[in-house]
Amino acid sequence: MKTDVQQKPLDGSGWLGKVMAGLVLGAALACGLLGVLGLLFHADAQFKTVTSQLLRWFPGPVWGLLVAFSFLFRSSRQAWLVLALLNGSVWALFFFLHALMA
Amino acid sequence: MKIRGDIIRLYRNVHSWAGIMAGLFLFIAFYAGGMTMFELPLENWASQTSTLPAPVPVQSLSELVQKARASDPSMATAYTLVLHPDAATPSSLMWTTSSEKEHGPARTIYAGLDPDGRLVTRTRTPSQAMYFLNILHQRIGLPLNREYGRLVMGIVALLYAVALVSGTIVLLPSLVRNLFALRMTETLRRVWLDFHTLLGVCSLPFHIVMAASAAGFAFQQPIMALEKTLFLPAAVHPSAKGGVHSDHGSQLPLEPMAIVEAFNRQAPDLEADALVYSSRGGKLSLRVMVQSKAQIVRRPEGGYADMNPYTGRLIATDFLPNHQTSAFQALTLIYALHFGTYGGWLVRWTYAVLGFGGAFLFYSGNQLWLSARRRRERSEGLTADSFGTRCLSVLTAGCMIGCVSGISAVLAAMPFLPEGGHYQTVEALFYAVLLVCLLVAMCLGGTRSIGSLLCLAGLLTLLIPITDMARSLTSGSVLHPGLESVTLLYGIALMVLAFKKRPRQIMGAALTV
Repeated sequence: MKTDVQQKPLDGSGWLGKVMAGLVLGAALACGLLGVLGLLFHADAQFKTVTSQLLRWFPGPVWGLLVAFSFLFRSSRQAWLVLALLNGSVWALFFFLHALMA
Repeated sequence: MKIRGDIIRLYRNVHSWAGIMAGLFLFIAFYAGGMTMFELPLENWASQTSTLPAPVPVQSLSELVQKARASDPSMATAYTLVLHPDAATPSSLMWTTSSEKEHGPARTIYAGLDPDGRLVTRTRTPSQAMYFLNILHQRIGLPLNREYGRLVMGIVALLYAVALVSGTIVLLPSLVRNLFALRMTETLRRVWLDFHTLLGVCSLPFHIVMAASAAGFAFQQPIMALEKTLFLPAAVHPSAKGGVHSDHGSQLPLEPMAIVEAFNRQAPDLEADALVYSSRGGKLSLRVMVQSKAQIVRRPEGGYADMNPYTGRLIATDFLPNHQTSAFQALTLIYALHFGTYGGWLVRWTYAVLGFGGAFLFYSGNQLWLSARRRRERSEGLTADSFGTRCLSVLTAGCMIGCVSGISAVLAAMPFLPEGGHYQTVEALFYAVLLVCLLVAMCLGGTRSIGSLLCLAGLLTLLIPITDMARSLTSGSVLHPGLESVTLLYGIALMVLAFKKRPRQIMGAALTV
């Protein structure tokens, strides 16, 4: 997050919007990252393989961190915008890799 | 470490609100979770008086299995051979009469041989009390089913993560300055705040591990479904699937002695603890359980390997200590870090202490929040607590001290309940005690009830060593000096807090301005 001294100090205004962005888009982002990592590490859809079992522990904590840090956005609009952009790029990467590897 | 003042102020707010929303649930989760560190020994303790068939020598195991199969053919579908019997599983052979595991261990038939070589069996449901405490910890104190329980657990895990991150951010800049500044001379509120900080920082690694793994556990089911859609389907290896077992034909499975020998040959550093057989479509499969006290294992019961019961060859050693790939070792470590199943008893005790300390961290957090709110309300000219403050004060005292009382009541009752306590009985007892405590807190008011509730918790805790002694006097079972001394000291400590004026104030009864 940017730390521009000129801007007005952060406060709790718009916290609900920021948290909702973290909850909804944060979950989508964690899922997208799971997908990308799964493809990169050749995890298959079998529950017994170690890569898919290890990756299963990944989205939960990432989601928690995203929600926790969503308060740092300047405004609710910025939160939705930034997270949507991140989602777009991660999911685009996922579908690209998916098409490439399938 | 420099963090902007406005960010710290923002996160101080976030920390109090996230903490206050999750604190009550997390207290129960940590207190009950700390108790599950002693799940196996306490189960053994509860099952002391039972008279189950005695174990048979290893040479007679296959004779025992044959006779049991002749008398009850249904046992062949799933049974366990115990190689090292203990108080909870004293017989050499056991099988369950139902596969229903909703309430913990199912109704089990224990089998042995009498001196004339005849089959003797006895049916009993193993104690489900410790399983209840484990579920109480997983469902964060709410009597929910699996589905809703996971959902609420997920929400609380997220709140816990937020509270943890925000607490760390608030603390980082002043960490070195404030960490060991336990200002005992200042106001009580200052002492509590310093104590909350010190406890939080010292157990921070533990809390990070717990928050991360709890979030992992809570969302396991949906993530598994997601992995199925996102990941590419597995490449088919015809040789890896089916080929191993297909050659058994009409072959008979190896004798238990031969299985143990084969296991010792392939894993000479480990000792087989139990052989768990199950069969699907007439094909028998075998899981060899091992106990390894000091190694990293997935569950408190130990590690395991899958073996072909017809050839004695190990098929899968994914969760067998010392025989894992490093990736599976990493996976086991995730489980072990949550369950405290590494490094033996020292780590389990440490985990229990950290768990109870964590519970106290949430108690102190709630009391600090109440004190801050009261101070603000007084400065605004209110003479009595507002409705919100009163509610939280009642809930904090009633739920938190009620949980301590309820768990002590369950432990004290365990040895006297039929079959070591059925799930429903134990559940009813726990919630009855919790409800009584909540009612007391409601009638007396949160702050004034702390003394009486602590007294009740102390009395119920003191009942535990008394039951142990009473049982030993009436039925001649062995005394447990370790358990008795720990619970005695704990009970006395609770009583001291309840009756001495100064400690009662310390527990938050006078934590106003």
